[in-house]
Amino acid sequence: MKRSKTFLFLISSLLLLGIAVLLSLAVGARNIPLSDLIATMRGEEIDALYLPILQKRVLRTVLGLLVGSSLGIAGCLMQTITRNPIADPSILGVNTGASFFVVTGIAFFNIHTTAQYIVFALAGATLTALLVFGIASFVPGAGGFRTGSANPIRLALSGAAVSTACSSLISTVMLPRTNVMQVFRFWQTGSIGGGTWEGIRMVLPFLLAGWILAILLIPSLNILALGDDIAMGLGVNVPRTRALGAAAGVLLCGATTAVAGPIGFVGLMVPHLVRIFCGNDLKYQVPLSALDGAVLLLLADVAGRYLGRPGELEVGIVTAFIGAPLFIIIVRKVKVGKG
Amino acid sequence: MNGKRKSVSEAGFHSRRRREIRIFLGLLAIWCGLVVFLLLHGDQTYSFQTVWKVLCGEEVKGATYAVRTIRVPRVLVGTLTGIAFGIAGNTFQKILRNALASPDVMGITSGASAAAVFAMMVLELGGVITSALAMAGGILVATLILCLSRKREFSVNRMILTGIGIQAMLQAVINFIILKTSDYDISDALRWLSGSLNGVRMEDVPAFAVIVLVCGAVILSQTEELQLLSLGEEMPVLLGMRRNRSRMLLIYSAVVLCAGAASVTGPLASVAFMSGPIASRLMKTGGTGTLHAGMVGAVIVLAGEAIGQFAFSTRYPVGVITGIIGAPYLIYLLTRNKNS
Repeated sequence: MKRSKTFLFLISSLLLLGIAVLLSLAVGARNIPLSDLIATMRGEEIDALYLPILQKRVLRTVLGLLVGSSLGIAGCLMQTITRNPIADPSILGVNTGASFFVVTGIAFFNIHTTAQYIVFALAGATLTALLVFGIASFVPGAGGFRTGSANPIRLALSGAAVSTACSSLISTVMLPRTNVMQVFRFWQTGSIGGGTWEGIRMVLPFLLAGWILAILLIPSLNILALGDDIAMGLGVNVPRTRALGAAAGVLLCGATTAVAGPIGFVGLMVPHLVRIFCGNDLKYQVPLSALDGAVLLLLADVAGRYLGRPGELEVGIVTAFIGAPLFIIIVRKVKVGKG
Repeated sequence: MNGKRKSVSEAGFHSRRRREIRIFLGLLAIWCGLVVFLLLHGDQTYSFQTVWKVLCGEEVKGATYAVRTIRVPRVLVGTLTGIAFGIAGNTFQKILRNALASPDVMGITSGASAAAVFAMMVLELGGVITSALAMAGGILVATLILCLSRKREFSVNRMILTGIGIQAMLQAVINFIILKTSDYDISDALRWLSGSLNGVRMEDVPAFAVIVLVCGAVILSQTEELQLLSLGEEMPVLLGMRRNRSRMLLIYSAVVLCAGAASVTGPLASVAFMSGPIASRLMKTGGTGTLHAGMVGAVIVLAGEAIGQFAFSTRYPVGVITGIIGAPYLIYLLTRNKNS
């Protein structure tokens, strides 16, 4: 019964992905009818404008697929490792941290290639993740002091606080440099409209590393979900598994931020959605999160392009608007205690 | 026997009271020093006599304009916003029993900023209406958070998480508007993101002062209730307190304070967040420390203004400086003795 439900979900996700890709190619400031789209893809020339438009949109779609699936997996990993339903790169401030590092790099170290962006973004994501988890586990909060398991409230609060600090640091760097603000503004809102093939090539190895690490970790993470003690009893190296999982998550977030800026809430929403249909087994959850992350991101991007015509609404803004209400629904559902 | 115990506890009470007064006077002295410093120094430095003469109403060429039109409003508004943010933050942290749960982390100041940025950039409205809308935005967001986090019973934790979710959404709104504004307007818009005392006018002071006084008085009148609420969910009920009524009164007073301050100067990151804990650690008496938190807030804002004006080659708005102070404060939270 469960298996068939998962299967149905997989089929519908794949269908949705196909639709999302088609829409992403067809919709924009200038819509391309489906028949023309197929014809142009075959190589016939119908309108001189179609080819350059399509080239742009193919790039954008590919980037969307990569970013969306990576964010989906990252969210899935973070929620599993922290055993925390609201863990998400944006809530935890990891994306803002990566942005802050990139902005600092642009302003003070004169970085301008994608490779440099990636290095800075990864460093920022890692440091912020460490800082947030550190604060969350050490600050005496509502539940008193406990190491290891950071409870949702403290995790979210320290994430929000670090995020606030990072954004004000970003403004600090930006304010005296009005002339380059145009570049910086991109780093406050995520978008998949500004990518290049070169950038994708640079970031792909990092994403692949993250994906492979995530897939390799699935069995141990599944056992980890039973609790630290049981996992240890079954022979899982708990600290190592957790550290590697976190590393994969941070790798994926940092690398996506380097090419697309901070995009929030995809990693939060998708695993929850997937869990409704296929339960807690990571064997299904990780690949399906990747699939649906891509679907969600592409659809959000299409919606942004449709709503923001003739310009566009950046995808980071669209996902925040879908994600924040969902976050609140999740918060209402999970047991947070009266505290 | 009974009488002796009473006298011991009374002595403890009095010594704590004396300590609180000493700390308050100390903060007041630092504040006075900062006020004098900010009145004397600026682009042009004036002697104490000159400034005194100007304040007494005499006309001194050059100095009159600089002192009366620029420095006095700046110091007054800075003090008032500091007090407002300090008290509001402290009240939130005490009610929600969490050192990280301040109005700026929970999206109430973001609500005010988002409304202000929207009014300025999209509706192209001017000063007073923008401020009014900013205040309305803050109050609206607070109401929304309270409604959304309500589920049969009030839950502090759910309220914090809901606030964070809404904060993330508002941040997206602000970023979007900033992204779409032309380069020409952007420094104006950024002012609402970081907060600044530049361009405050004497006309802003009276209304704001009334807000601070009224809301501050309400919160002070609820000192005992606040103390009980900070003990947990059960204690107030056991002691026969009308929990929800006091809590709403306190939360809304704090929200109005915070939104009012944000509508005049912008958010001034981290002031609300730092003041309460700093005040508590200075006092060490376990009191609610409302007044102390207000004073700490005022000192932080004025010190930030002084640093922003004189410490670097570029002039930074005070909100940026307070935001920077917030980052090491977080790391301090991380490294300090966790068993305290």
